[in-house]
Amino acid sequence: MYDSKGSGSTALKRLMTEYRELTLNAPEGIMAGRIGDEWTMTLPLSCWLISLSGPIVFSGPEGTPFEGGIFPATLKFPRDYPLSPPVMKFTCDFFHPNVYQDGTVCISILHAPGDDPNMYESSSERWSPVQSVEKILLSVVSMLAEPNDESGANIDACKIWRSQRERYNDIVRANTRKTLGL
Amino acid sequence: MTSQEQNEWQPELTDEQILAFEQKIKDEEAEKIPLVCQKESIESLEKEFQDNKPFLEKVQKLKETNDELRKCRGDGNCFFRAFAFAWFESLMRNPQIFEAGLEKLKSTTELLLSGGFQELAFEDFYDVTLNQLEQIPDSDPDLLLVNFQTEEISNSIVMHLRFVTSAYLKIHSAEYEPFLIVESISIDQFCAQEVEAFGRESDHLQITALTKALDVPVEVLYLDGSSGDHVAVHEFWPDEASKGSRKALQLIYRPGHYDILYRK
Repeated sequence: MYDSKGSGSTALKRLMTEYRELTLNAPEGIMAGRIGDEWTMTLPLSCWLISLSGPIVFSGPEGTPFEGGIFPATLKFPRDYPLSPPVMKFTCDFFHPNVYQDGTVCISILHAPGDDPNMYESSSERWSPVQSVEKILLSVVSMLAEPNDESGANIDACKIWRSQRERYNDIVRANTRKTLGL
Repeated sequence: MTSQEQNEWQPELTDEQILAFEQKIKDEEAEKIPLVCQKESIESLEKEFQDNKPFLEKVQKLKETNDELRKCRGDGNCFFRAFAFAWFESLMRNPQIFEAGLEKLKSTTELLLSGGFQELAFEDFYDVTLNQLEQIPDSDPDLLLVNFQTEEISNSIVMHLRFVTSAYLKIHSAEYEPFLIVESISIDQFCAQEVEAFGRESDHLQITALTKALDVPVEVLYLDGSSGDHVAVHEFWPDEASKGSRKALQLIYRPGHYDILYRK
């Protein structure tokens, strides 16, 4: 009743700026692009302000079993973005210690300090409005190369990554091939 | 792994549901108390602490010098929000200090850039804050309150002050790092975790930095469980020399929360 709920215009303005930056200067190693339609807005009926209707696409980093793959993911932004972080989800089969089986990415930058679903180290990078979509994407790229099995989201993946690295690589490579329709 | 074990590690709610749930909690909290409230008599504190003798005695003592307070929502941002509102209100009441306040706010963009902040991160919050401050001469107290109760405006101002505080601490890290010895973290880590993140509570370090960065003196009156009716006053003066030549904003603190206090 006291809360105007906000129109989300700050969030929208910020996202448009970030989007422009990302299209003009995509960081190296990321094919962050948008496939499909324009940004769409879902208004305050739900708590989402904006979702990228087309997926962000990752190319798997060289030297990892993700190499060569094209991994679609979505980012969904809360109405009070960038005060709160977005949620990132791979929309393809994705086997990784820090990604839940439903595709939701669980790394420290996607959580505000004090919000500790997986007991991150206190020094790890957290969400605050100084972060951005670009920084999230860079963190995800480094997550692909270096999983953090201390704060795992997929325990099976953690175990296999830790003790049966070849098997882990095989599973990931199989997913990678799947993303290419092979 | 059994299916039961697996369930423990799978999110039981979708991300949409989790965000919706968090939004619901925020909305419920919002219905209890606005971000910034109307002024109320200090007697409301007497009622609040009627069963708590040490606090009650102090509130009764406080009545000799102060008659009103203005509550802010306890969402972890109360120090910044209380400070911002009290500051804006003081600029509205004293037109002779308005220009200096405006100049100080405008100088913060330089401070943020020197503190290593990207323009992308702060420009939107700064624009809202500047716009609100510029309106002060043509505004009135009711409108000021309405704006501070509007989430988007109010939170942008809070966020700008958080960044200003953080930039000031980073630039003066040599002075302030020694205070973090116990936590054994660097100023940069402290700022990332405690200052730049929305909703994290504030303590001495943040207050010291913000009052210096904006040249706004603050007195914090502490209510605590100590015996006797003495209310400890912590003074934050940007420079000792200016003490006495102007009035400090007054905030009242009880463990975990700041509100705005008004002198008689």
